[in-house]
Amino acid sequence: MMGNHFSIILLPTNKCNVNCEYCFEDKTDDRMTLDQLSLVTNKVLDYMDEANIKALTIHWQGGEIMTMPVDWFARAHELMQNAAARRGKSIEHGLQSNMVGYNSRWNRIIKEMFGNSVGTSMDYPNVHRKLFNGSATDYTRIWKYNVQAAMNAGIGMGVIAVPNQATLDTGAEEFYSYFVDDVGINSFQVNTPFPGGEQNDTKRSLGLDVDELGQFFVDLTDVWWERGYHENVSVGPMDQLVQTFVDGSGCLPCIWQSNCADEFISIDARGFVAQCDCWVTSYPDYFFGNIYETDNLGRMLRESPARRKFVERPATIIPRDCIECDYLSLCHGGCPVRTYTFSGTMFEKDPYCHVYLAMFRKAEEVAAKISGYRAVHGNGAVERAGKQCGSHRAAANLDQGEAPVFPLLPSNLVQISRN
Amino acid sequence: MQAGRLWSQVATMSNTLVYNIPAKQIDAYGGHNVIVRSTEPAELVYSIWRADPKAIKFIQLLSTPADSSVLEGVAEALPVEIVLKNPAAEYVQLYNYTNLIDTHPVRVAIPVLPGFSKAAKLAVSLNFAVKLELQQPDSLLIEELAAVLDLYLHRSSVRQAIEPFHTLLLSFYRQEPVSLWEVAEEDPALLRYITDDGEETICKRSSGEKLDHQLGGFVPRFGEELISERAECHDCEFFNRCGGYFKWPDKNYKCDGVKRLFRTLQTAAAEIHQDLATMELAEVQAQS
Repeated sequence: MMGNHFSIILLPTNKCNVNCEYCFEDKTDDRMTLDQLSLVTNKVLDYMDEANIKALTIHWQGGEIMTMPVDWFARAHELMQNAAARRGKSIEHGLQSNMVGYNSRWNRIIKEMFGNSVGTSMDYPNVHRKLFNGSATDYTRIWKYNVQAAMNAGIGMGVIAVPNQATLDTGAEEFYSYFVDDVGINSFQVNTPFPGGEQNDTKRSLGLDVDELGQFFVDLTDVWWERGYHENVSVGPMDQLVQTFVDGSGCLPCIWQSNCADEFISIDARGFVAQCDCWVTSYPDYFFGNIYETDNLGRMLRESPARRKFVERPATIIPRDCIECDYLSLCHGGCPVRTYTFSGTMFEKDPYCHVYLAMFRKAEEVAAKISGYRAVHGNGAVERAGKQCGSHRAAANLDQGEAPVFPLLPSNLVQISRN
Repeated sequence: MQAGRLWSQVATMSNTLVYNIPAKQIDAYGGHNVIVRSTEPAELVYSIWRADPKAIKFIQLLSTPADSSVLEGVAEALPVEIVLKNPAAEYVQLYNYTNLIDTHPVRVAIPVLPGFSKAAKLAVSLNFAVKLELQQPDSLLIEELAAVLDLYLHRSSVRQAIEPFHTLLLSFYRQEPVSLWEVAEEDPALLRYITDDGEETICKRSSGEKLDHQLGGFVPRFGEELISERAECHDCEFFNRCGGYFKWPDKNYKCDGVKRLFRTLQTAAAEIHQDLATMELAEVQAQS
């Protein structure tokens, strides 16, 4: 059902310390206890035994992870590694945090448990990410301070940014400059917005003009190609798309997997299981079940009517017009939650199809330049320090006593890559 | 292209005869190299357990059940071929097999029937290797084949082999002859097909046909027959690759359409040579 690798987006807390207007999660004060985590771990390992899956990646996020005590993670790490070792399995961990609650006490566990990297989020300009006092400016200031402190402590930071109308008005050059020149980030990914969770005025206005948004991605790719490519700056998903066109080795985000239902599940602090973090707190009709209550996770996944919808989505939508698309292999109809939140059904293609087409064409064009140049001058002529895909390879680097060539884009971003 | 390369090796087989057998006959073919086929994933798993793993060249799943997960954890690295019967209707079922790639090289065998191109396109989009079962395509199917050939030759997102195009392209590029009978895994000198009734024949499409002569020499004998008749094959520039494949079972089949496909492959191979020569020249100039 899941191949030889399994991923879980785990929300040990549904509580958050900030008040972002466009958040797709419906927050609660629930937190997972270590006993509950032990129960979850054992049931997941039972499922891995049953399905002959050897490796597990846990993408930790919330709510907000850093509302939990640091010590809880130290004990969670030990508990999970011991349980996995007893079964001959491996577990890797990635961390996603808003970094508002970060302090140096987190450094040790980030290094020991999370491969010394953290995925975080920020937009430019920041319009919707706010503290509980309503200030986006304070949020941005605290975030930047903490991210730079973490980087100074040697932690690799990757950022997810969601464009808004102000982003499009400002343009790709300034957007790129903010993250790379101002904050000092060299790995970020741009995700498209969607109105998930309980509706409000902000979410109702999240839809952007697809032509304008497509052009933004095209412009951003140009900026990255001119300024970032040779400096080993990673701008996802464009750099990974380019890599995919060059040699097929790009790590594309989950929105473009053949079927996300084959890749991962999400579990929240209440034990609810759903397709991903975009569904698990906000859409009870799409819950697969509750892991605290089931005695067999595999059976729950196999028999869940909600999961069946995800499994059947590509087969339902692809014959309509995606089968005619030149980029079918890259997209497979796109993201269920983006489709559902804009269209009210997941059985249509992703509403950002037009944007994706612009991105694919641009990436193909850049890849052709790279391939042509390589053909004439050899690989070394346009070599960049190798960005590798996902946390597995990051861990491999560290095992060999090598520092990663540059901070890797953690695979624990909201949109995860296939391992 | 790794899986494609592996499938090419499988296609080349070996000098030892390989029998394509129904899974229920696995015990009767002990000591032989076999391809095991069944509509039931569980029956294939049972066959794998009963046979010498080295003797199984690959397994063929003759249906597209929604749940084939039983195959995922069994005999890792053993190639699996998913055989479609009605590609235009069945192709979306391929989404059920994407996890198989994690543990097995997977190829999809697609009969060239109306609408097959959708199956070919989706299969390569899901990173499966493809084997087209050609037979004697009519003019509409030639157009569909030309579209799939264009996809194979020119779409940068296609990273899997589509047979027989892949081996033919290599053959033109290397200027080496190849046998289409062999690529199609229908040369009885290498492979025999055992029908569900236990009859030994050339291939799936020859089931039930009366074959008078010794099977092993069928391909050269048929080729000599075609040449001696001084018909279309006699002067055909592609006979050293086709070997009369498209003249069987109906010798009167007109090859204009398939010659167009051969010519496209031949031209593409020449273009690759030309491009590489241009690039090598540019490289020399860049170095000096």
